[in-house]
Order: sequence, then C-alpha cells, then structure tokens
Amino acid sequence: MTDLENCLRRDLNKIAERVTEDSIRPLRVRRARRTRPARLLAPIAAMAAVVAVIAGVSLAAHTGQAPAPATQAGLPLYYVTVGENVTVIGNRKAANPKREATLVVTVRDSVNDAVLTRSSFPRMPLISTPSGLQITGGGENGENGQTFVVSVGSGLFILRVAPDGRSMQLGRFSVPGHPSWNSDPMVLSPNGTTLAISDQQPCKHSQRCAYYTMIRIVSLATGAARTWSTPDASDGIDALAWDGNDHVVFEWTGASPPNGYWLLNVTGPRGGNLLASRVLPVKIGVLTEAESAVNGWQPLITPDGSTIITTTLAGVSGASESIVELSARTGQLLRVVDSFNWIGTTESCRVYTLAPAGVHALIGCGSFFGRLDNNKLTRLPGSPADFQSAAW
Amino acid sequence: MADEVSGRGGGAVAAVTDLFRDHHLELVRLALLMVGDVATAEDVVQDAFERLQRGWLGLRRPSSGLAYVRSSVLNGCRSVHRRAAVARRHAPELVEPNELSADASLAADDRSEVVAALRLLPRRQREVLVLRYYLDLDVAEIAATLRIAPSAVRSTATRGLAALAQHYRRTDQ
Repeated sequence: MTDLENCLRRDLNKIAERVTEDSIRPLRVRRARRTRPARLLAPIAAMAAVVAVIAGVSLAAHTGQAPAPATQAGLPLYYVTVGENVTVIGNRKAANPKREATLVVTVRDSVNDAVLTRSSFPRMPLISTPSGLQITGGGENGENGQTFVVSVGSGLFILRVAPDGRSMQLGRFSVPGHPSWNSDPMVLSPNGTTLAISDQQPCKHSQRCAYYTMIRIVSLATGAARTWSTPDASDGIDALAWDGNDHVVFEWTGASPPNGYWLLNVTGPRGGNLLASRVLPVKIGVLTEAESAVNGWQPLITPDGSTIITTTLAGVSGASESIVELSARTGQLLRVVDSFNWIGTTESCRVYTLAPAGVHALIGCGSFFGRLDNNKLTRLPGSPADFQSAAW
Repeated sequence: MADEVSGRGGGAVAAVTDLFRDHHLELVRLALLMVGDVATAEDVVQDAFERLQRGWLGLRRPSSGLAYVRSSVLNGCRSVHRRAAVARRHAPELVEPNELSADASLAADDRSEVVAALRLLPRRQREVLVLRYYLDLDVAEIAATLRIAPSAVRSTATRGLAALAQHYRRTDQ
C-alpha cells in the first residue's frame, strides 16, 4: 500500500470516528404503514391463485400438449435464467453457520407462461455478490440444442439445453490462466463456439500500472485460449459484443486511451496487443464517468456496433428508470423505450442479452422479464422471483 | 438443513434489527463522508433502513441485505446532492452558496489535504475510494454496491488515486 493510500485511509477514519454510538440521535419513530388491507386481500389472492392453478391444470389436461413454440421471426423458443439458492447447513443459530449454494437453472418458454425445465446443481461455492453470476448464450437452436456459458464463483460451466428446452446438461469448463472468480463481461459468439471474456490481472513486472486488461478468446471445443492484452493500461472494458464470428466489439472505458469502441479481429492464430485493434469511427459521448445518470449495469451493444441499449436513472430520488437506446456513433439518445417508477421498491432494470440474430433484447425489470424488439417492450410470461442473470 | 430463502418472511424485522445493530454506526460514518454533516447522514441512513425493511421480502437473498442498505445509503447521499443542486438553481437568493454546495461531500473536515482533494473527484471515483479505504470493501463488494463491473471498480480506483497524487504534486509546487 502506498503512502497516499495509507494517508487516505487514516484521514477517512479520523473524520468518520467523529461520529460515535453516543453521538447519534435515536431513530425517529414514524407512523407504521397501513398493512391491514393487504392482509384482508391475502385470502382472496390465495383463492384466486388456487382457481388459476385449477384452470391451468384443466387447460393443460384439455390440450394435452406442450405450449406452442415461439413463432415470431428470430425470437428464441426459450430463455434461461440462473439463480442461486443459499441454504444453511446444521445449526442456524450458530454464530457463523455453514452455508451452501445451489445453482438453479430454469428454462422458460418465451411466449407461454411455462417452465420447460428446471434443475438444481448443488454444492456450488457461495457467490459473495449478486452480480457474480452470469450467463451468455449463442448459436442457433439446432439439432443439438443451444449452448450457454455460465460463470459461477468457482469458474465457468457449459450449459447445453435440448432443442425443445425440456432437458439440460451442465459441465465444468476450465480456461487456462483464467481466475476462478471473475464477473467481468463475457459473451458467446453468434455460432455458439467461441467465448470472449474480459479480465484484468495484476502487473508483475511494471511499477507503472496496477492492472492490465485483456480479452480472452476461448474455444469451447478445446478450451484453447488466445489473449489480447494491454501493455500497461489499467483501465477497463465495460461491454463486449460479437460482430459476426470473427470480430469482437468492446467498449473501452479509460483515460488513456480515452473512452471508445474498438473492433478486434480475433481470427489470428495468436493474441496480441488489445489496443492495436481498430477504433470504431464513433464519437463516444455516453457511458463516461461524468454521465452519472447512466445506470451502472453493463450495456448491450448491437452486433453491428451501432446501438447501445442501457438503462438510465432520473428523478430527484433516482427512482425513475428508463430503458433507452443510444447511438454508439454519436452518443445521442435514439429513443426511450419504456420508463418505470421504482419509488418505495428495491427494483431496477437490467438488459441481459440479444438473441443471436441481434434483435430481441432480453430485459429484466424488477420481478418480470421482457423482450425488446422494434422499440417496444413486451413482458414475457412468468414472474421469476429469484434470478440473477438470464440469456436467450 | 433449513432453507434460508423460504424462511425469511417472518424474520424480516429481526434481520433488519440485527443489521441495524451491527452496521448503523458504520453506515452513518459512510454517509457523513459523502454528505458532510452528521444530521443529514443520520437522515439518509434512517431512510435506507426504512426502505430495507419495506423491501426485505423483495431481496433475492437475506445475505444481500447489507449490500442493499449500503447502496441505498449511497443513493440517498446522491439525492442529497441532487436536491441541493436543484435548490441552488431555483432559490439562489435564499440560500447561502456554502450551505448547499453541489459538492458538499466531506465538507465536515477541510483540514485534511487528502480529504479536500477527494472532494474534487467525480462522484464515482469518490465513492469507490471511500468504500475501498474507509469500509475496506474488496473489488467484488464495491462492484455489487455500486452496480458496476469489477474492471470499472479497479480502473476507477486507479484513476482516483492518480488524480489525488496529481493534486498533491500541484499543491507541492
């Protein structure tokens, strides 16, 4: 730790310690919110749920078949969510009870309100932060189904989902040199064979940098990785997208070189200098640090590198959130797709992935999923209560 | 084996109480570092805990309660700055400029050169540095709290420290 860091730590603590337990005023007592109407409604809601379930069972028995597949052009048949169920093992009242995480993977119909399949994969290491779980999909849903890559706390896994979405297999996937913990952006190529994953590693031989940044291009078939890295820049990559199967678009956020979108040709047999790739002729006016209104989630870039899909926060309390499309070429707002008011809730919106055709963005807003196409947000069926990431 | 997720509804009050007991002081101090006065910091933290209790059932995992309330405190601090900026725009004749500085963060102590320099940084850099060097959070925890990518945390921290160092060099000359 440098002198500056020590100094900063010492001074911050010195100021903070001016506040002590004794000096904090007691909590103000505020009038409790009225909850009685909700309680009265609960039995009615329960009855309605029972009726709905009975109706659903009757309908299923009547039709005797699976829900109709998605028919809209380019719309995937299903989408996959990954979540984590944490259980306490043994004595819950112990000071530090042992916990175990189960990875829960759910395949949902894109059109009908139906779970096609759900599996739990136990004994996963606990993820310390909700943002640490990622899934990315790629490739057409062909004879062998569709491929996804899941990043969990302990590393990467390949998830293969059957063409009809009714079965799945999960297998560990190791990448040489890749850290077990990584929640930086990753994205699977449109043909589902190659993973682009960004990473940062501590500089070993230079005093001038803290970290250097890289993109690994990994073959799912062999696990072989090629690496493009920066020589000594410690700035980072905020978003990744594939442009076809041979080029990766990445959003570079940094001071030197400045923020920008870059196009990396990944067809070569070896890696190289990340910043020797071509800078896209775009003037970046968005997603800079100064743009504090832009939400922190990783934005999506369309495969042609033209459009950024992200969410913005607004309002005095920051509780109004909008899904927006921005031009990557000018940074200008193209359109506000939809807006939500999250006052009094813990919710927010997040854009997850684009379908392989580069359309139909999958969006999670609060407790519902949506698909974004033709500038319109359509709610997807189902109300996933516990998910952390999702992909087509 | 007990399922923590399914069993959390009845324990919301107890869980929030535990969090409050264990982290209230730390969070008031965090808010103080961001907004600059103790009374406002206390208000921000109280609001955050109220939101936490109302939203407890919406949390995906009880273990994320602390991360949630930290984020909520930081959001509250940003709101304080936004409200101050709005007030400054609309009622300049009523308000002393020093009272509602757009960057009132850390105004509580100008004696520290480090802290004075910290006030000059962009909001995200300041938040990352305070979370890193006051709360001792690691990169993953800061990423979760601020909802940014880990790489963005590292690069933001590096840029923030570099800006502080540059400030020192300027003031030394």
